[in-house]
Amino acid sequence: MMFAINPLPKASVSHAMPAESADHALVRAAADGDRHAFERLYRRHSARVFAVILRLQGGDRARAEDLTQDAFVRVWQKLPEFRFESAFSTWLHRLAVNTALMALRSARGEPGADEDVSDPEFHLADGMARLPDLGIDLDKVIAKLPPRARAVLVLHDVEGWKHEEISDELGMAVGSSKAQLHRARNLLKQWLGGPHGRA
Amino acid sequence: MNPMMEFPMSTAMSVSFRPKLLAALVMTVLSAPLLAATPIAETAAPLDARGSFEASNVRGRISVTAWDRNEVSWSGSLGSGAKLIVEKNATRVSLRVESENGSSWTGWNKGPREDSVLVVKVPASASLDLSAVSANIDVTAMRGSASIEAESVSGEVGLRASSTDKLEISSVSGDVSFEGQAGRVDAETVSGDLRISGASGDVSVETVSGSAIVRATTVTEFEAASVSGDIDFEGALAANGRMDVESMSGDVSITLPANTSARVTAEAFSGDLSNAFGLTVEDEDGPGSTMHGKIGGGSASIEIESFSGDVDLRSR
Amino acid sequence: MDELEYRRLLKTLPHAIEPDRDLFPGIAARLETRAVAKSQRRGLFPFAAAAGFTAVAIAAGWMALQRAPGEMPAPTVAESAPMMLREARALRAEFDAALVAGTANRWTQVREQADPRFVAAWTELDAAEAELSEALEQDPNARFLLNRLKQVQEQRLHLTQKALSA
Repeated sequence: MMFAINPLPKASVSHAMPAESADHALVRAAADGDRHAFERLYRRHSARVFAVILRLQGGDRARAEDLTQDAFVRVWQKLPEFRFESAFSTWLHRLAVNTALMALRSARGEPGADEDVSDPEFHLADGMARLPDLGIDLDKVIAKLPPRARAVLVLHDVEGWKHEEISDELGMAVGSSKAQLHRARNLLKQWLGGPHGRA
Repeated sequence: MNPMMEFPMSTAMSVSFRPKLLAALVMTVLSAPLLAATPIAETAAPLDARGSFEASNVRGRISVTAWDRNEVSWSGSLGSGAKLIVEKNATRVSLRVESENGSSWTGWNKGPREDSVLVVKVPASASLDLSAVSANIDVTAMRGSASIEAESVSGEVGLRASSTDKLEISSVSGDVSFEGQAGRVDAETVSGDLRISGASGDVSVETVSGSAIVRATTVTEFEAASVSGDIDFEGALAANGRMDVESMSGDVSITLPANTSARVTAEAFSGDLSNAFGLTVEDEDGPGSTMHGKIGGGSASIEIESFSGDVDLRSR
Repeated sequence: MDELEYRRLLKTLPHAIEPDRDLFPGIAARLETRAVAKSQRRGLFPFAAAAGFTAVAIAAGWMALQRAPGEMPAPTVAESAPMMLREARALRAEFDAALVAGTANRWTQVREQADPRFVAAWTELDAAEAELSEALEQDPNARFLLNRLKQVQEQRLHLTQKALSA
């Protein structure tokens, strides 16, 4: 009765699929329980997932490995929900980011805690105004940022997320996301200043 | 004029019948609906100092004033077709104006044709629950009630000189106003205007197209949400307070003391952002601009989001 | 370090990094055997399958109920986001409740016979809804616009219940 006057968007019909790609074929098989197909998905995407989780985790490789495994286990569980309307890699990516961020939240013990970017401590992390020994290893410098600012910077500047997406994922206002990014970038540039420019 | 002299009388008519008939005819000729309304004889019932008083009326008025007696006293008038249903015990008194013959009043053609008016005095600290459709509601001089709720569909809702822990007032198209003190105020309209003034703790105003004007001494929490109505706040924000304003196209004007201490995050898709506190306004790549930073020590938090409404943070 | 230098550095960051060891055996050990996944369709809104469904689409559906079949606007579907699903579920619950009240079929009739004050309020809410939907199209992930839309939906539902009661 309702559908007669309000045809729902295509999301409502699970078997309307776009053109197959290698990923989608693998996803369909894996969603039906084929573990070999799932392994092939893993091989195709694990390095990408590991990279983003590693960055969000501040360079802790052991932790990133654990979380990468967690992420793929979740992927297996949620595969039946995949809509086939977007690229699998995008969907996988979001799940991986979410897994890493959830871990960050529970590690800090305060899910809602917002770091105050105007707090003087923020600027002095570890008492360093500049890190000459790290040269220009950007990853190492990013790892020094406080977790929330690091998350915003990684998602925006490295992964290309928009502020609306970031704020949704992190549970903050869009304005806070922009403020965090602004400060994180300034810090990085300050720390990276040296032969290449003034601090 | 003596009606008895105007009309020829038949000696066959009984004496008792004629005066009533003639009186009724006179009434009809004068055709004053007011006169057809039946007065409510002043009645009183005891009520605990902190008991609750409820009233509902479809059309006309509900008028409540506080007094020092542990008693509810009511009077007023009932429009034709209306009756008053009273329920009472030591802790609760309820007055409901309903259709006389029990039929429903919903629907335009079936509604009451006349106003009914309830004029009530209640213990000053009683809790109130007042409900109206097109009746206006006014409440005066309550002192320290635990809770006051008043809602109307098209009538106005107004509270004056009153203090309560918790206040909920709403109207769809009528104006809503509160002057007094409350631990928490929740005020909501669709198109009616909202006016809140006094020293309050937490204030929340929500409207679709009405304007919301809030004049506070100090608020701990201020939430305002509008679709197209303007939002205008003036007052102080407590040191660890929180302000959260959302508007689609209504303009937002927030006036705060110059020595306010707050972190500000404001953004607008196409509205203009401006402030008197030296905060920078930045344009984003693509549509949208933001205004954020710290005022004073940055202890409280202010978040304002607008789509096309302008946002202005002023200082006094 | 200036902006240009920073952006150049960003580009040098690897987007794929191999872990130190093969993680798959650890993953495989934790995979539960999957029960055969069927496409699920429950009632009006197949939420289990529609992870991409948003509150705006539901709202559009609700709006459609208010209009004659001829003048239905195209539903607006914002970017999918996990949190929106909760909102969509809440709206769905309201919508279903209204349905159960049996208003759907005789909506036009109800509206025609209702007190003009109710009608005026509905018209006001319709207008607000239209404006909000347009705004959401321009700024699809604006949470606060969705909040406003939800508020308008709730007001409408509340009014409808009032108009139909007794």
